[in-house]
Amino acid sequence: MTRIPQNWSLKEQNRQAAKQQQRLFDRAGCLVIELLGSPGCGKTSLQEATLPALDRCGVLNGDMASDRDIQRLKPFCGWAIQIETGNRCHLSASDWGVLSASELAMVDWVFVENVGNLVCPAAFPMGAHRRVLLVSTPEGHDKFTKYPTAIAAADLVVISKMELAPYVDFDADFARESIHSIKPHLPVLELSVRQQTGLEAWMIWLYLQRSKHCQSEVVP
Amino acid sequence: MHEFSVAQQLVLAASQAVPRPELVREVGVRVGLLSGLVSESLAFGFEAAKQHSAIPQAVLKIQVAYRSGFCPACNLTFEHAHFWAPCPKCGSQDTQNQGGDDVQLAYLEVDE
Ligand SMILES: Nc1nc2c(ncn2[C@@H]2O[C@H](COP(=O)(O)OP(=O)(O)OP(=O)(O)O)[C@@H](O)[C@H]2O)c(=O)[nH]1
Ligand SMILES: [Mg+2]
Ligand SMILES: [Zn+2]
Repeated sequence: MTRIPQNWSLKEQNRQAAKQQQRLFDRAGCLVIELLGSPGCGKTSLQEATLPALDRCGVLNGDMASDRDIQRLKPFCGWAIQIETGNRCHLSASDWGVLSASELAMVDWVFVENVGNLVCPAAFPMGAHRRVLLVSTPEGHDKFTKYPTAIAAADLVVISKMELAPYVDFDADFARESIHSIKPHLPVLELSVRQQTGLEAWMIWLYLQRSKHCQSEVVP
Repeated sequence: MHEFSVAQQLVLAASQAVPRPELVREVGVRVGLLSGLVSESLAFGFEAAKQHSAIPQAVLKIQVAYRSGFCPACNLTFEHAHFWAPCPKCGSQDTQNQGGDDVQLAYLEVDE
């Protein structure tokens, strides 16, 4: 028997696929924002509150079944595409195959709602420029330390349903501390779509990412 | 949760790594403690994925990989099982942490 050393890596494999995809986005000039978070944390609601204020948007939505989220978002964007993932627990870079170059050329912003799941999507970058982790107050302020992979993968944490915080004993300071114990300096925004609070900061964050992206954009 | 699809990717990578995959007897894999994968499920998935593949004889050997921390002040490298950990010697929070979050194909044992 002979032992042959290998250097294949899952992370590297996924990273290459994501990078290739991101180059396509860069060439089309669109900024791709991915939303991650458990079922019902408010991913679709946040998009409903965001899309009307933005021009030229596209939406990709991964769900195990049903196109309900796409129906909710369709009125606000150029295209809205549903990917029924069946028994898959995450989207991956290859899922963008459903999009044509002309669809990409139509938009400046793309929002991707990944499958509601705090574990698997984190390990599978799809090539989004920014990954946003949503956690809603009823899930509890101790959720963060329980799902460190999601935090490690995120560029921003949004704490949603903030108006419910007093009713569900959600301690925002505790939440921030545990987020920063995993990833120091990770920006955290608190908002409530229901009461329309904290949304300005979210919009500012989005535009800031857009201008950062335009400045750094290198088309090879 | 996605152990099966990772197992399929591993089987494919191992099958393509050598000219005669049918001679592969052992597939050595490093599974990071922070990869989010359960080794038992990965092993189970591998058994299923190798059927009808180019490496039906291969046995999966899993080695656990820790995360490595580095404290610049102490010039100390240490292993741990968190995304981030303070220096065990001086307690500094200014540490660099890497690894332990991947699944890597480390080696193949092949029959002569
Ligand atoms: N109280 C309160 N409820 C909210 C808020 N935002 C969303 N919700 C409610 O939370 C529920 C789930 O919201 P969705 O936006 O569908 O959540 P989601 O993350 O897209 O869910 P999945 O796509 O199933 O993973 C809905 O009933 C929303 O009305 C909020 O700010 N406050
Ligand atoms: Mg949704
Ligand atoms: Zn030290």
